[in-house]
Amino acid sequence: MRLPFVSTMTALLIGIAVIALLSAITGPASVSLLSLVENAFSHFSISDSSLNSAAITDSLEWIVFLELRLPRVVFALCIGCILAQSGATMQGLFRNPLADPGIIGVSSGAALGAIAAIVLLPAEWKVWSVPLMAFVYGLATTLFVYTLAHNARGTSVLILLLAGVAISAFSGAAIGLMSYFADDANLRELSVWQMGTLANASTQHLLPITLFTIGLAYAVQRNAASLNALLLGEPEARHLGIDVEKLKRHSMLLVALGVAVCVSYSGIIGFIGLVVPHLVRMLIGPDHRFLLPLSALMGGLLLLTSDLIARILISPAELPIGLITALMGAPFFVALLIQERKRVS
Amino acid sequence: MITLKELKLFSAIALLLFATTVNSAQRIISADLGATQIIQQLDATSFLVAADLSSRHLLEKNEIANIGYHRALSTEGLLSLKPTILVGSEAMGPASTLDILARTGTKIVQYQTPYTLEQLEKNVRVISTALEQEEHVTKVLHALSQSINALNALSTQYQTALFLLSAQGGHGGIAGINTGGSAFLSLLGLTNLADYEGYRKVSAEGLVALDPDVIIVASANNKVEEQTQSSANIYSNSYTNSKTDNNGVYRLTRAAKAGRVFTINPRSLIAGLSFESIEQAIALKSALSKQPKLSAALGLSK
Repeated sequence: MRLPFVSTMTALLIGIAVIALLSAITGPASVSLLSLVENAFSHFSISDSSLNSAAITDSLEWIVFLELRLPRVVFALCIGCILAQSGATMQGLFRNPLADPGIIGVSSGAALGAIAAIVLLPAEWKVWSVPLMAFVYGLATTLFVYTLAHNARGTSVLILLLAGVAISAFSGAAIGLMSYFADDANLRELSVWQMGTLANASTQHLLPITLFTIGLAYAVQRNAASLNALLLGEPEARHLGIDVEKLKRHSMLLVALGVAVCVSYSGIIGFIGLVVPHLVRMLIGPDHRFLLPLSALMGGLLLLTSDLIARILISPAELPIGLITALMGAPFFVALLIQERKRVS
Repeated sequence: MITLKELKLFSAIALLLFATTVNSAQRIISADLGATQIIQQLDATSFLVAADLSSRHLLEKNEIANIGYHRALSTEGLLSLKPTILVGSEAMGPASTLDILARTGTKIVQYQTPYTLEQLEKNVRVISTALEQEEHVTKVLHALSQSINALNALSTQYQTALFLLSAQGGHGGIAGINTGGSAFLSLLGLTNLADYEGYRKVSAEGLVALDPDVIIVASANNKVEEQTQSSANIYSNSYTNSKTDNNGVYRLTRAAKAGRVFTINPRSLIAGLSFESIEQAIALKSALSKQPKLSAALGLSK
């Protein structure tokens, strides 16, 4: 049974609002939203508001709320949206529900770049070198994979897939080699990076990541009808007037951009791009006009929930979010596959 | 009318109360095993409100919070504990967490991981000053100096060694320079044959070719754990001689054949050199000084 688009979207939006509010008020530190609002009003009502507003934003409650929880909520939503939408796009492009954004080598390329920055570049550069290298290597790897698969007759999806596998294997080996020669401190740092975290979420990056997510969602959504046509097969899509080559190039570029940004901010966060589109497709069907926005919302909801669990499960310590998504996603995916097998048989 | 004697008594009580208030206002978080050990030595454990994963075994009886891995500290988690001081090595982070804690008034005390005794001594001074525990520092440094003297008084005929991280039958790497393992070999007065940075895997053949006089294996095997915990002094007897281990990657080396493979508890070296590792070194060096010569052990003339 398929669920109606509007009801599913409403349910997801309500779910996001509830979990976002819960995330904003829950955590190891005691922060009351009510007292935050009251404090803000009482301070801003006094004439010398600039002085008092500086004082209030330096208070512990405000620091926890504005600089820790709010950025994490927004980042979790944005990164979850991008990863899930990228997964849905890749699955549409490859016409395979087991495809994920990493299939074109962007994740492994970004990981290679980040680990090269950790191991080979000076420690004092890491604040900017790790995200920058992750972004550049992610994009460069995708470009390389695309170049390998592209010839005068078009882009072969099979070669794209195999090139992605080969690049991932190469990146894995290069990461292994760098890990072997890394010193003790770098080795520990790269292990932590590979587990994924939203701890780097910061207030100054809130606006760029939000605008980027909205822009990407808009650009991806414009391909929805073309991806629907592609589900019928490449020749059929061409007969329907779709420029398949342009669609492939455009989709890959968007996915590569999106995933590279996510990896550079948060490290490797697995399973969102694979599980979420699959789950949404089971709920509402394969129509990309609905699949893409609902995947984005469910991806955001899942990552937001994972982040909340990561923050409170072993409080005051914190679990890497990549572990939570994998721990939740893998059994869930297996359960889905078993259910699907029963349905088919 | 209050007498002078009563006034003195009241003043003394007031001073005592004031001193207690000042001390009990301290809320210390230790993000490093080395820091926790120094805090213990300074008799300041009661001010600890949380410690990282590596310190947990020292604080099993204290109901304090666990802040997890020191390289991935949770900003909000730490803030919720309302610390006055956060103590840890240069590796603790991330930097954004430390920045926010500093902004909220937490004193951040960072030091270099001690791979030399001088650095260990320096760390004791830095932490005691930050914790306002100067009255204990002389006693602690004196004890440290006595341990170092005891270590230096021992001599061994052996010169070269390798330090292996054990990994169930194989090995998790051999300690090169700037590692806790290499620092431990220096304590024993032995030259580390591995001259690279960090830890690297070496084959069984490579180990035979390096031909160390002594092999130290860092292994968290149960025997060592039991031995360590059952001992009256947890720092003594914390090694075992792996004479009977025929499965190790080092089994073909001359050191293994001569019974000079020693297993120590790796926890003492997690944070570089420590009081515990010095005591382990004393026990081990003492055992080495009683070992027969290599040629005698093998029945050969070298």
